[in-house]
Amino acid sequence: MYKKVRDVHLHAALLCLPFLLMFAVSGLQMAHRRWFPTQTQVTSATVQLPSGLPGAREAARLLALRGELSAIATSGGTTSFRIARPGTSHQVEYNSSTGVAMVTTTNSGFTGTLNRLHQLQGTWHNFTLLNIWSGVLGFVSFGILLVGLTGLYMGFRNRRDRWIGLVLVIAGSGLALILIVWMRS
Amino acid sequence: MREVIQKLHTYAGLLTFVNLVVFGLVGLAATLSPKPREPIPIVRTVPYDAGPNLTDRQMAEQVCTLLNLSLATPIQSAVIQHDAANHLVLDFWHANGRHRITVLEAEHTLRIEVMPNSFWSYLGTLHATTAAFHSGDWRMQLWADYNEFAMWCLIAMLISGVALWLLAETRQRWAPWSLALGCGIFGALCWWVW
Repeated sequence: MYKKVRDVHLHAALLCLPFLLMFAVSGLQMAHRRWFPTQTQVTSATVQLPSGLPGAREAARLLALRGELSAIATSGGTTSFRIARPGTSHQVEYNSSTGVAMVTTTNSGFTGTLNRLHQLQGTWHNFTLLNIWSGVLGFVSFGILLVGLTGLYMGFRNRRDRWIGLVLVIAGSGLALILIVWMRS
Repeated sequence: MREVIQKLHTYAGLLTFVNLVVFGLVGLAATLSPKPREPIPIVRTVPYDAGPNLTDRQMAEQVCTLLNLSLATPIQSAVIQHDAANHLVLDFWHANGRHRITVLEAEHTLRIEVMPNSFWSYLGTLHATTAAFHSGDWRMQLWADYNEFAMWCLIAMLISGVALWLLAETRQRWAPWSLALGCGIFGALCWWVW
């Protein structure tokens, strides 16, 4: 039994390792922003599209920019929308009478990309890649739980340190659980 | 050497076990979360008599104490707002959700809109709260410091875990393949996103 649990612990941890490193680095970056200054680059470009396109979806398709289409708004013949993927966001202003599209691209670099991936939620996005990332991160989260539970089991199977382990779990988990329940109530 | 690393790895994991579970649960909840929707507030009114000559900030502090919103302290400037009718509006965001309060001084009333968080959302806030966050509530500050410690323990466990694997006397034959598969999936997804 112990050997099987140890194998599950090892394989789950190694399989998830690159993702856990990503979580660790981006978590550290979000917690201590001063240590990791973000390098945001903003560039603009003008693209000529056919005039009179019926909506943002058609304009987005012709621009061939990769990302999730959102924040669509139309006002006085100008359609604005955003196409974003982790680390890169394109804000587009399309004038349907002239066909001119102003594209402002914000690139938040390596740390910005990790930051966005860390905060990814749900599998309801209209950009398949985001859904795949989110699904994989769900599996990694399950992996964290698996590694934690198998680690707990192995910690208590070690007879020499069992009492120290018990004290550490009671102290750490007791404090954390009291705070979680108390602040919620 | 291996024994010392093993002890550090085990003790760090046992000491921060609940935080690790919180990280895992928050990640699972994030993947399964539905598209965010505008929450429907629960509205109530309570009698309130503001003292004479109070500044907006003093009133905000009084209301915060009255409604026991210690998790929303210290009160940031962005909390204190005014609506179109120039009523004082206090927009408190905290781990348990949001309290939007309109001070109706003439009616001696507080109009309170409560938008409570789900338990998963609450855990999400807790998992992101670290020592860089300064709370006016000592419980939240203690949690923030402990969670910061857990974050560093997680990093230490990742490094010590790899070291333990590399220093093991008998290597698991399939272990490098698990690592290769993980790196392959991660690399492919990164390449695709960039």
